[in-house]
Amino acid sequence: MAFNVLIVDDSSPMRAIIRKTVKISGFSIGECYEASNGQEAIDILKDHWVDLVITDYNMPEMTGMELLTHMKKDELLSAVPVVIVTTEGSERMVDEFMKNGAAGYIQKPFVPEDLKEKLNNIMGEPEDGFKSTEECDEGLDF
Amino acid sequence: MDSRALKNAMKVSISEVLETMFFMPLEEAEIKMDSALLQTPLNKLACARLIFQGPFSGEVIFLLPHTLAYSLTADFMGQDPNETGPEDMEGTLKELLNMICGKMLSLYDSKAVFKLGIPEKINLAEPLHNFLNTENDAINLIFDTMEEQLALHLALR
Repeated sequence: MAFNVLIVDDSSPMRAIIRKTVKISGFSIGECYEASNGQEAIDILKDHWVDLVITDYNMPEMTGMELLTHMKKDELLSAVPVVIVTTEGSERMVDEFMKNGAAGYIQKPFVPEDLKEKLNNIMGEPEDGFKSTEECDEGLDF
Repeated sequence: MDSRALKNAMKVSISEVLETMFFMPLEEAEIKMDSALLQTPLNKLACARLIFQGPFSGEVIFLLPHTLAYSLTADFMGQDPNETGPEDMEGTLKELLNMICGKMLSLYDSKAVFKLGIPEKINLAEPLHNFLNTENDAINLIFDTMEEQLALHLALR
């Protein structure tokens, strides 16, 4: 089964890094959507089924927390796991992410293994090898 | 606010961000008027600023020569430096500063909640030594990289 993923971050370089990491993580990835803030993410979620959302916290227009809150109130979207990838590192903020229903949390800076491990915990171990439907031969230089 | 602890958090955070995500080791350098970075013309520098609020508030400015900024961006994105455009460079610079500030503040006080602003690219309007003047109240750090120098400036508001 291929997962559809939505990556939400106002930094296009960071979206590119997360996209590459997800694609080499061993999961079978279907569509990989991108949004630069929470509102854009909601617009995508209205039109497309997504199995996993990976979002930044600090974004203009709508933060990752507001996106998470919106999704948890929506009957269709409340079960979609949301992973917060952010620079915010205070214990209170992390507690708030988890209390609001985040499936996981990763603090930047991170190494690809951190994200991969988190995805394994949430989505289960990939069945085998590299199964991205879109060939990804780009290097991951960090 | 303990400025010594904050300065240490700045050093650790910038080193960790650049080493973890950019494979770039740093070494702190002494701030001198003849430092290579201070000799760089303003129009050859890339600068980004982030304002934060919380138990104490301030701004952090990250600055480095354009050439180093493009080189970092190309490494980060796994691109050929010749294919790296100004938008990618600006995005990487802002993300880098965002990571440095978030890490710095959580290292300084993991229980405090700081609200980080959105990083913005800025153009310096005054000579660099005004920013990096060791006699003012700001915390200023210059680092040597394998290529050129870069600096981090924190001023409380």
